[in-house]
Amino acid sequence: LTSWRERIVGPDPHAEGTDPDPRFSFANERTFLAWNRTALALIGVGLAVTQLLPPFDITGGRHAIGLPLIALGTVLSVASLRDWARNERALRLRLPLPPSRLGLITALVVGVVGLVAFVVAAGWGVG
Amino acid sequence: VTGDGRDGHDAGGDESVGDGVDEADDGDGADGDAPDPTAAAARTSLAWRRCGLSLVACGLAIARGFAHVGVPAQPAIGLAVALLGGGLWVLANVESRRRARLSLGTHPAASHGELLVVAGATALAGVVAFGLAVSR
Repeated sequence: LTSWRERIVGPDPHAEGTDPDPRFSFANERTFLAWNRTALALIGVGLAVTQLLPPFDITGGRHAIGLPLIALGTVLSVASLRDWARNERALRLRLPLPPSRLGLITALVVGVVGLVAFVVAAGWGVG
Repeated sequence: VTGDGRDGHDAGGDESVGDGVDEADDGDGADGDAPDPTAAAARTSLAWRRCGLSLVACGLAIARGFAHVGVPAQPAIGLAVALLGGGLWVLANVESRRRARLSLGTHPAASHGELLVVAGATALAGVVAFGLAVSR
Protein backbone atom coordinates (compact mmCIF):
# COMPACT_ATOMS: atom_id res chain seq x y z
CA LEU A 1 0.00 0.00 0.00
CA THR A 2 2.85 2.35 0.85
CA SER A 3 4.59 1.95 -2.50
CA TRP A 4 1.27 2.42 -4.32
CA ARG A 5 0.67 5.58 -2.33
CA GLU A 6 4.23 6.84 -2.85
CA ARG A 7 3.98 6.35 -6.58
CA ILE A 8 0.94 8.66 -6.78
CA VAL A 9 1.60 11.32 -4.16
CA GLY A 10 5.32 10.95 -3.47
CA PRO A 11 7.22 9.80 -0.36
CA ASP A 12 6.59 11.28 3.10
CA PRO A 13 8.76 14.42 3.16
CA HIS A 14 9.28 14.24 6.92
CA ALA A 15 11.53 11.20 6.56
CA GLU A 16 14.64 13.30 5.92
CA GLY A 17 16.13 16.73 6.58
CA THR A 18 15.42 19.17 9.40
CA ASP A 19 12.46 21.43 10.18
CA PRO A 20 12.46 24.59 8.04
CA ASP A 21 11.15 28.02 9.11
CA PRO A 22 7.54 27.19 10.08
CA ARG A 23 6.28 30.04 7.89
CA PHE A 24 7.55 28.19 4.81
CA SER A 25 5.68 25.04 5.78
CA PHE A 26 2.52 27.07 6.43
CA ALA A 27 2.79 28.80 3.03
CA ASN A 28 3.32 25.41 1.35
CA GLU A 29 0.23 24.04 3.08
CA ARG A 30 -1.89 27.06 2.10
CA THR A 31 -0.82 26.59 -1.52
CA PHE A 32 -2.01 22.98 -1.33
CA LEU A 33 -5.35 24.08 0.17
CA ALA A 34 -5.77 26.76 -2.52
CA TRP A 35 -5.19 24.16 -5.28
CA ASN A 36 -7.74 21.87 -3.68
CA ARG A 37 -10.34 24.65 -3.51
CA THR A 38 -9.59 25.34 -7.18
CA ALA A 39 -10.03 21.63 -7.92
CA LEU A 40 -13.36 21.56 -6.06
CA ALA A 41 -14.52 24.66 -7.97
CA LEU A 42 -13.56 23.07 -11.33
CA ILE A 43 -15.47 19.90 -10.44
CA GLY A 44 -18.48 21.99 -9.38
CA VAL A 45 -18.46 24.06 -12.56
CA GLY A 46 -18.04 20.96 -14.75
CA LEU A 47 -20.95 19.29 -12.99
CA ALA A 48 -23.08 22.42 -13.32
CA VAL A 49 -22.32 22.73 -17.06
CA THR A 50 -23.27 19.11 -17.77
CA GLN A 51 -26.32 18.96 -15.49
CA LEU A 52 -27.87 22.44 -15.30
CA LEU A 53 -27.39 24.07 -18.72
CA PRO A 54 -29.97 23.58 -21.48
CA PRO A 55 -28.51 21.66 -24.48
CA PHE A 56 -26.46 23.56 -27.08
CA ASP A 57 -27.14 23.27 -30.83
CA ILE A 58 -23.98 21.14 -31.11
CA THR A 59 -24.58 17.61 -29.82
CA GLY A 60 -22.42 16.77 -26.81
CA GLY A 61 -21.45 20.41 -26.34
CA ARG A 62 -22.10 20.41 -22.61
CA HIS A 63 -19.99 17.28 -22.10
CA ALA A 64 -17.18 18.68 -24.26
CA ILE A 65 -16.98 21.66 -21.89
CA GLY A 66 -17.78 20.03 -18.54
CA LEU A 67 -15.94 16.69 -18.59
CA PRO A 68 -12.42 18.15 -19.13
CA LEU A 69 -13.03 20.54 -16.21
CA ILE A 70 -14.05 17.70 -13.88
CA ALA A 71 -11.05 15.62 -15.01
CA LEU A 72 -8.73 18.61 -14.46
CA GLY A 73 -10.09 19.12 -10.94
CA THR A 74 -9.57 15.45 -10.10
CA VAL A 75 -5.99 15.47 -11.36
CA LEU A 76 -5.16 18.75 -9.62
CA SER A 77 -6.33 17.54 -6.21
CA VAL A 78 -3.87 14.63 -6.24
CA ALA A 79 -1.07 16.41 -8.14
CA SER A 80 -1.13 19.30 -5.66
CA LEU A 81 -0.46 16.87 -2.80
CA ARG A 82 2.52 15.54 -4.75
CA ASP A 83 3.77 19.11 -5.20
CA TRP A 84 3.28 19.81 -1.48
CA ALA A 85 5.41 16.77 -0.58
CA ARG A 86 8.17 17.72 -3.07
CA ASN A 87 8.24 21.31 -1.80
CA GLU A 88 8.28 20.22 1.84
CA ARG A 89 11.16 17.84 1.14
CA ALA A 90 13.15 20.59 -0.63
CA LEU A 91 12.52 22.98 2.27
CA ARG A 92 13.70 20.39 4.79
CA LEU A 93 16.89 19.69 2.79
CA ARG A 94 17.52 23.41 2.05
CA LEU A 95 17.34 22.70 -1.68
CA PRO A 96 15.82 24.96 -4.37
CA LEU A 97 12.08 24.37 -4.78
CA PRO A 98 11.36 21.96 -7.66
CA PRO A 99 9.51 23.38 -10.69
CA SER A 100 5.75 22.80 -10.68
CA ARG A 101 3.72 21.72 -13.70
CA LEU A 102 0.34 22.49 -12.14
CA GLY A 103 0.18 26.00 -13.59
CA LEU A 104 0.98 24.80 -17.12
CA ILE A 105 -1.54 21.93 -16.94
CA THR A 106 -4.27 24.24 -15.63
CA ALA A 107 -3.58 26.93 -18.24
CA LEU A 108 -3.55 24.43 -21.14
CA VAL A 109 -6.79 22.68 -20.18
CA VAL A 110 -8.64 25.90 -19.32
CA GLY A 111 -7.40 27.46 -22.57
CA VAL A 112 -8.57 24.51 -24.69
CA VAL A 113 -11.92 24.37 -22.86
CA GLY A 114 -12.30 28.11 -23.49
CA LEU A 115 -11.82 27.57 -27.25
CA VAL A 116 -14.28 24.65 -27.24
CA ALA A 117 -16.80 26.74 -25.28
CA PHE A 118 -16.42 29.56 -27.81
CA VAL A 119 -17.13 27.20 -30.73
CA VAL A 120 -20.03 25.51 -28.94
CA ALA A 121 -21.57 28.81 -27.83
CA ALA A 122 -21.25 30.25 -31.33
CA GLY A 123 -22.89 27.12 -32.76
CA TRP A 124 -20.36 26.85 -35.58
CA GLY A 125 -20.68 23.88 -37.89
CA VAL A 126 -24.44 23.64 -37.40
CA GLY A 127 -25.44 26.16 -40.01
CA VAL B 1 -21.89 25.91 -7.37
CA THR B 2 -22.17 28.04 -4.27
CA GLY B 3 -18.58 27.24 -3.40
CA ASP B 4 -17.37 28.51 -6.78
CA GLY B 5 -18.46 32.04 -6.11
CA ARG B 6 -16.85 31.86 -2.72
CA ASP B 7 -13.61 30.69 -4.21
CA GLY B 8 -13.59 33.41 -6.82
CA HIS B 9 -14.07 35.94 -4.07
CA ASP B 10 -11.23 34.48 -2.06
CA ALA B 11 -8.83 34.59 -4.99
CA GLY B 12 -8.60 38.33 -4.49
CA GLY B 13 -7.52 37.93 -0.89
CA ASP B 14 -4.01 37.83 0.49
CA GLU B 15 -4.10 34.09 1.12
CA SER B 16 -4.24 33.09 -2.52
CA VAL B 17 -2.11 30.56 -4.37
CA GLY B 18 0.88 32.80 -4.90
CA ASP B 19 1.26 33.51 -1.20
CA GLY B 20 4.99 33.47 -0.66
CA VAL B 21 7.48 34.49 1.96
CA ASP B 22 7.37 38.17 1.04
CA GLU B 23 3.63 38.33 1.59
CA ALA B 24 3.99 36.43 4.81
CA ASP B 25 6.31 39.15 6.04
CA ASP B 26 3.86 41.84 4.99
CA GLY B 27 1.14 40.29 7.08
CA ASP B 28 3.26 40.15 10.17
CA GLY B 29 3.26 43.86 10.84
CA ALA B 30 5.97 46.45 11.07
CA ASP B 31 8.78 44.36 12.56
CA GLY B 32 10.75 43.21 9.54
CA ASP B 33 13.58 41.81 11.64
CA ALA B 34 11.68 39.21 13.64
CA PRO B 35 8.50 38.27 11.74
CA ASP B 36 6.00 36.39 13.86
CA PRO B 37 5.39 32.81 12.67
CA THR B 38 2.03 32.82 14.48
CA ALA B 39 0.71 35.14 11.75
CA ALA B 40 1.49 32.47 9.15
CA ALA B 41 -0.21 29.92 11.40
CA ALA B 42 -3.29 32.15 11.65
CA ARG B 43 -3.44 32.63 7.87
CA THR B 44 -3.21 28.90 7.32
CA SER B 45 -5.97 28.34 9.89
CA LEU B 46 -8.16 30.80 7.99
CA ALA B 47 -7.53 28.82 4.79
CA TRP B 48 -8.67 25.62 6.54
CA ARG B 49 -11.79 27.35 7.90
CA ARG B 50 -12.57 28.66 4.41
CA CYS B 51 -12.43 25.07 3.12
CA GLY B 52 -14.84 24.07 5.91
CA LEU B 53 -17.27 26.87 5.14
CA SER B 54 -17.11 26.04 1.40
CA LEU B 55 -18.22 22.51 2.25
CA VAL B 56 -21.06 23.85 4.43
CA ALA B 57 -22.24 26.02 1.53
CA CYS B 58 -22.02 23.05 -0.89
CA GLY B 59 -23.94 20.89 1.58
CA LEU B 60 -26.73 23.43 1.97
CA ALA B 61 -27.00 23.74 -1.83
CA ILE B 62 -27.25 19.93 -2.17
CA ALA B 63 -29.83 19.74 0.63
CA ARG B 64 -31.95 22.47 -0.94
CA GLY B 65 -31.70 21.27 -4.54
CA PHE B 66 -32.64 23.29 -7.61
CA ALA B 67 -36.12 22.10 -8.51
CA HIS B 68 -36.59 24.59 -11.37
CA VAL B 69 -33.74 22.97 -13.31
CA GLY B 70 -34.60 19.42 -12.33
CA VAL B 71 -32.08 18.90 -9.52
CA PRO B 72 -33.95 17.31 -6.60
CA ALA B 73 -33.30 18.21 -2.97
CA GLN B 74 -31.04 15.66 -1.18
CA PRO B 75 -31.43 16.50 2.53
CA ALA B 76 -29.45 13.49 3.82
CA ILE B 77 -26.44 13.92 1.52
CA GLY B 78 -26.51 17.69 1.95
CA LEU B 79 -26.63 17.46 5.73
CA ALA B 80 -23.73 14.99 5.74
CA VAL B 81 -21.56 17.28 3.59
CA ALA B 82 -22.51 20.32 5.70
CA LEU B 83 -21.66 18.48 8.93
CA LEU B 84 -18.32 17.43 7.41
CA GLY B 85 -17.59 21.08 6.65
CA GLY B 86 -18.69 22.17 10.12
CA GLY B 87 -16.43 19.52 11.66
CA LEU B 88 -13.50 20.72 9.54
CA TRP B 89 -14.19 24.29 10.72
CA VAL B 90 -14.20 23.22 14.39
CA LEU B 91 -11.01 21.16 13.92
CA ALA B 92 -9.30 24.12 12.25
CA ASN B 93 -10.09 26.29 15.27
CA VAL B 94 -8.74 23.74 17.75
CA GLU B 95 -5.67 23.02 15.62
CA SER B 96 -4.82 26.71 15.17
CA ARG B 97 -4.26 27.19 18.93
CA ARG B 98 -1.97 24.15 19.11
CA ARG B 99 0.00 25.30 16.09
CA ALA B 100 0.40 28.85 17.32
CA ARG B 101 2.21 27.37 20.33
CA LEU B 102 4.20 24.80 18.34
CA SER B 103 5.37 27.19 15.63
CA LEU B 104 7.90 28.63 18.08
CA GLY B 105 9.32 25.20 18.92
CA THR B 106 8.75 21.82 17.32
CA HIS B 107 7.56 21.36 13.78
CA PRO B 108 3.90 22.34 13.32
CA ALA B 109 3.40 21.25 9.71
CA ALA B 110 0.57 18.99 8.66
CA SER B 111 1.45 15.35 8.00
CA HIS B 112 1.40 13.72 4.61
CA GLY B 113 -1.53 11.53 5.70
CA GLU B 114 -3.71 14.43 6.86
CA LEU B 115 -3.38 16.22 3.55
CA LEU B 116 -3.89 12.93 1.70
CA VAL B 117 -7.38 12.77 3.27
CA VAL B 118 -8.22 16.22 1.86
CA ALA B 119 -6.80 15.47 -1.61
CA GLY B 120 -8.45 12.04 -1.60
CA ALA B 121 -11.86 13.49 -0.75
CA THR B 122 -11.57 16.03 -3.59
CA ALA B 123 -10.41 13.35 -6.03
CA LEU B 124 -13.30 11.08 -4.97
CA ALA B 125 -15.76 13.92 -5.57
CA GLY B 126 -14.20 14.39 -9.02
CA VAL B 127 -14.49 10.71 -9.95
CA VAL B 128 -18.13 10.57 -8.77
CA ALA B 129 -18.92 13.81 -10.63
CA PHE B 130 -17.27 12.48 -13.80
CA GLY B 131 -19.31 9.28 -13.65
CA LEU B 132 -22.49 11.23 -13.00
CA ALA B 133 -21.80 13.64 -15.87
CA VAL B 134 -21.05 10.83 -18.34
CA SER B 135 -24.10 8.76 -17.41
CA ARG B 136 -26.65 11.57 -17.58
